[in-house]
Amino acid sequence: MSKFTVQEKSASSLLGQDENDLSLLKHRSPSPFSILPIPLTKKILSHISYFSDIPHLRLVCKTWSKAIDQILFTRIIDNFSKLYPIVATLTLRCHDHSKVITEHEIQMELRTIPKPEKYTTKFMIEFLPITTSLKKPLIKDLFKNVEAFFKCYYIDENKYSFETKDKCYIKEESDDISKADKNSDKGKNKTKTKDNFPDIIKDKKRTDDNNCIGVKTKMLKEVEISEIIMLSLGTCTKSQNFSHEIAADLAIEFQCVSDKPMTFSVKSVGFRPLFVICWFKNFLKNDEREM
Amino acid sequence: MAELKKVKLTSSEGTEFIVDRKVAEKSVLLKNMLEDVGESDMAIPLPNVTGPILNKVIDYCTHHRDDPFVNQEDDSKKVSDDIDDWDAEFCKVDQGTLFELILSANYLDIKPLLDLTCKTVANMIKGKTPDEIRKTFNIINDFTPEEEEHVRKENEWCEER
Repeated sequence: MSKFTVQEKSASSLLGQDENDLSLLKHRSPSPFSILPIPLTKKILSHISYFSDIPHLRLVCKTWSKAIDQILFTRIIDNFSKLYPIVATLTLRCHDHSKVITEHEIQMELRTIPKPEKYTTKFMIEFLPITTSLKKPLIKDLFKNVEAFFKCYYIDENKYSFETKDKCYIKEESDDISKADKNSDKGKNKTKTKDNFPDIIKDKKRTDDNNCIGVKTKMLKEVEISEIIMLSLGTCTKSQNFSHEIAADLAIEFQCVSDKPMTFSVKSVGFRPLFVICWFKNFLKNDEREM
Repeated sequence: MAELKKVKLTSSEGTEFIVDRKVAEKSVLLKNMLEDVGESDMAIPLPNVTGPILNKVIDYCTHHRDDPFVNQEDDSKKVSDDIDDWDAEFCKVDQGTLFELILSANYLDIKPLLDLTCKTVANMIKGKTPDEIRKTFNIINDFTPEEEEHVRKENEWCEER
């Protein structure tokens, strides 16, 4: 038994405090979390794995918000590695207002499944800056949250709930993206190599307008972005009779829409997503039957 | 029966604790140190652990001395409601002690104790609103109203689903 005395105080006893009592706030002791290094805070928060609990915990404070984003980001990588072993590298390219480009190259853990020759193991998602307001944070900061929700959505997707709930939603999007792809000169005559991602923006005019690239843009929320990415990744790894050269060379550009948090426009789509989406929906149905 | 080997540990205040080597070796840090040092009567100083906390840690390690060694971290087993009665009772301490135990378990590299204490704090977080969590742990809301609104908006689509 312990040889020292400890004072027991339940958490609920603290909740009885009157929140309007300013004297209590003024004299309150520092948070016990303040003595913990961030990795330990993350470890604690990582035990709260329930999907429904995660979003509102991001509201507690900035540290928690960042820690939770990082936890989810780690889980994205873990889960991608498990479910999409072919994807070895996911490159995220973020542009800021001063044309500085930050690349996040995420190394996925390749499992022992042999890599087919025609597969590329590299994918890139490109995020462009908000050009209408310089006060906005860099897109890479926003992207952290996209990553987080990417994972959140993925959990939901894993339950296949989006199959019934969002079926029309996907179709509507795929039609629109298909039109966009047809109208885009980016989707045509592309040589399919792993380096054939959209060029870094050199023409300022292109960055200034969501609709100036010859593509019929469609506002997509990150949930929709997630769908596209997931569908594409799923296709590349699972397809039996698929033109790998097309699917493997996924390149999507997104542009943030000012004053619409977490909303992006698709700037260009480098291949035919409609095909991918149709295929992936079939894949999900087959997979569900097997379960 | 062979006499159990003893190890001397010294807390940050200089208090000496004598424990069975098997108990001390629940700490990966101490296990490695003991393997490096070999047979020695020298006390091992633990400048990052206070006496009362070290005492608690020894209690834990003594109770769990025969537990199998926990190897790799498995995320799939990260559920915070699988705490047995003894462990739950062990963690009925004030917040300060609980967080000191987390730090010490991390420093001494005692994964089961670290998991236990982290789970206990996680359980104190679960089911609470952000405001309740802030009050429970004296956390200051450092978001500006605009930043908070921004996070809320980011959360919206997620919560709708």
